[in-house]
Amino acid sequence: MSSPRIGLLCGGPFAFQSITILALEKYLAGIAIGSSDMQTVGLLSSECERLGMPFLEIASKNETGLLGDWIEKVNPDYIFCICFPYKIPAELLRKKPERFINFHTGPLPAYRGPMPIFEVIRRGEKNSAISVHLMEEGFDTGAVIYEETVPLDVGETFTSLAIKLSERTAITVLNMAQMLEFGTSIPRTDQDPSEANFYPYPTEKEITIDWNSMQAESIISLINASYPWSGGAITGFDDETIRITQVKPLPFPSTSPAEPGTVLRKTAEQGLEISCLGGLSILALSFGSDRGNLGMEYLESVGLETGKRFSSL
Amino acid sequence: MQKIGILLPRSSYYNSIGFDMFEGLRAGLDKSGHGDVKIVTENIGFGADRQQVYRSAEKLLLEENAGIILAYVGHRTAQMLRPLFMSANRLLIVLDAGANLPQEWPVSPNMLYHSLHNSLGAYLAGRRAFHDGFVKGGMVSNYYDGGYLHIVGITNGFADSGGAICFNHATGHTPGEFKLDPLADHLKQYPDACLLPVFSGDFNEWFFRDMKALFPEKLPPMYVPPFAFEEMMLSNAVYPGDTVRGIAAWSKDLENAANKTFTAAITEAGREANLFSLLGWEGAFLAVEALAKMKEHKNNARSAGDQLKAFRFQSPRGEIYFASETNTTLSPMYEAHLEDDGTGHCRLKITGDAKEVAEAYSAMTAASLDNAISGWFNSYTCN
Repeated sequence: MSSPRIGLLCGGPFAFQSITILALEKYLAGIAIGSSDMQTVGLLSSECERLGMPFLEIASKNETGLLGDWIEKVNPDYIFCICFPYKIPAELLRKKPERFINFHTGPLPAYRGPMPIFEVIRRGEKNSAISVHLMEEGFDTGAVIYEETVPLDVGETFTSLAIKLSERTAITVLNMAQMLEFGTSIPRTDQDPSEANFYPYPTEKEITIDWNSMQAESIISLINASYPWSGGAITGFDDETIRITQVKPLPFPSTSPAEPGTVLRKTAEQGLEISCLGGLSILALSFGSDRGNLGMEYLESVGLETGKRFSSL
Repeated sequence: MQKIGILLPRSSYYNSIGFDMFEGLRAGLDKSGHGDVKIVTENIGFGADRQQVYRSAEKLLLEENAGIILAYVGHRTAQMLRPLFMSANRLLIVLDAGANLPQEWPVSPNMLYHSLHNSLGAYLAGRRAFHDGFVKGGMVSNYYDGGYLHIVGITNGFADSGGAICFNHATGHTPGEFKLDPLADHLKQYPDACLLPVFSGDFNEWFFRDMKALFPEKLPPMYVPPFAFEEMMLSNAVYPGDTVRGIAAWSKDLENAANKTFTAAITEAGREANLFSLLGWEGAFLAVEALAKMKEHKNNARSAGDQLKAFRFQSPRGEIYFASETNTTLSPMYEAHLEDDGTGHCRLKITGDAKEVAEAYSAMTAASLDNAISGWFNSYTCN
């Protein structure tokens, strides 16, 4: 086919590099964003105005019905979805079968759901992926066109992996557009339901550290996976809810034996060595709460000192 | 019957490039005891027509059902083919001139690069210039060759060693626009500088001819990458003087058993061994191993590709092995210089092994590209 017109559904800045590359290569025909963030919406809106492209802001899941009119205006050959936060109405998917293509930020079918970046990190996976798949009415269920593996580094955090995936998505989006332009068909492989997992949006319990059952490496993974989107992994001290937001990438042998969750020392890096199961420790480097960042002075003022113990709420 | 597909290029200067690669591949299969493997070919021209390249690859995969595909394409075109090969669960072995740098693109598990390493040779040539005592240098290229990242290779190799690039000269790429005169002024200003020229094909012929004319008394010292030492071109090139040193990827005169077998096989087929028949010959060994790995791993290209990276073999240029972090083969490279062949034309003289090739490759590929990109789609030397 000639150069395909692509309408893009996105959720925010994660898609910016993809938008740029689709626009530069003259594939982009319109943008719809599922966000109410004024700055992001304003930026994309003015860019679309400059390029003479239809733009749509969808501020809540109740507004997805507006997509029908937007698609009429854009008249795309294909619609790419990159972290679009709302479910697309089934009648639209039925109206344009095999025309909606999702760029899922995790391996499929193992990591279906809205937060694959969190799930992949907290489960200590060595690789994640951009999974390009045809969209069906079910969440992340359509046949996979191809999967782009993205290795995780030691100590990978939610932010660092999101940046990595965003960059890789831009290349993947271009590859997909070229496949649509030059290929005679879209190859695909059905997902194997026996290997499928669906992870819903994480609950507070899932981002809470259980010092008595979790190994040091799992605690590090949970902290890396939980910040910044949730404010950090949750732990408790006395009546306070404290969030650990940053941690050294690897555990190390404890400097002294103690119950899991015990503060063993304050380090020169202004971090706290906290004991874990199996004679290992982690080094927590920064803390927060629902009110924002917490400095070491504050923690000391509430009595968090060597020998005191974090609780597992 | 097992099939190997190959996407063959066309080149105005190297007008037999496709035949050379095919003959190298065919002879390599014969000599490795796999003459029964069928070769299916598609012509992809200069490699710049993306539709043509994509359709050709699709045809070899879907219609011909080739088990492995070899393709002489650039990184940018290979990246375009990536989802097709991922979807088809097949391996693509890119036969690569090595004019770009692998860090420009992410590694794909089912795309492997088998390279002539012009950028790495350029990097080593830059290093060699510094180690020979030059602390100032000037990069010289044209609008065609300068569009590939081997120019980053040669300047980084020189600068990372401690040298300073004092000037750059990029000339046009048509006979009327090819001008080297500004080099005389540059070298007046920096008389101790060496030149770091990066050209291919006929541009090398023009470069050597015009340098001899521009500097009839004393040719400035220069350090060149492998494509300046391509021997078929050299036999037609005017010998410019005795100050042309650099790094070669291979020579027909290399003394080793694999090279003797290779050159004899190509001669027997009525052709002259060159870099492109070498690439096809080596591609045969890789393709045969890749077919075996695909079978062993039940046609899972990802696993097969992963295992293939442990493969080593003796080639006419020495032992080939993989730099696994970039899915790219490495091979020995050679220090060389030009000499007069007795008729006023050039002859390649290998003087020794290039040092620390693998270490240089790691250093070159670890460096930030600092936003340098190559915009060329066409396969290197195919214009």
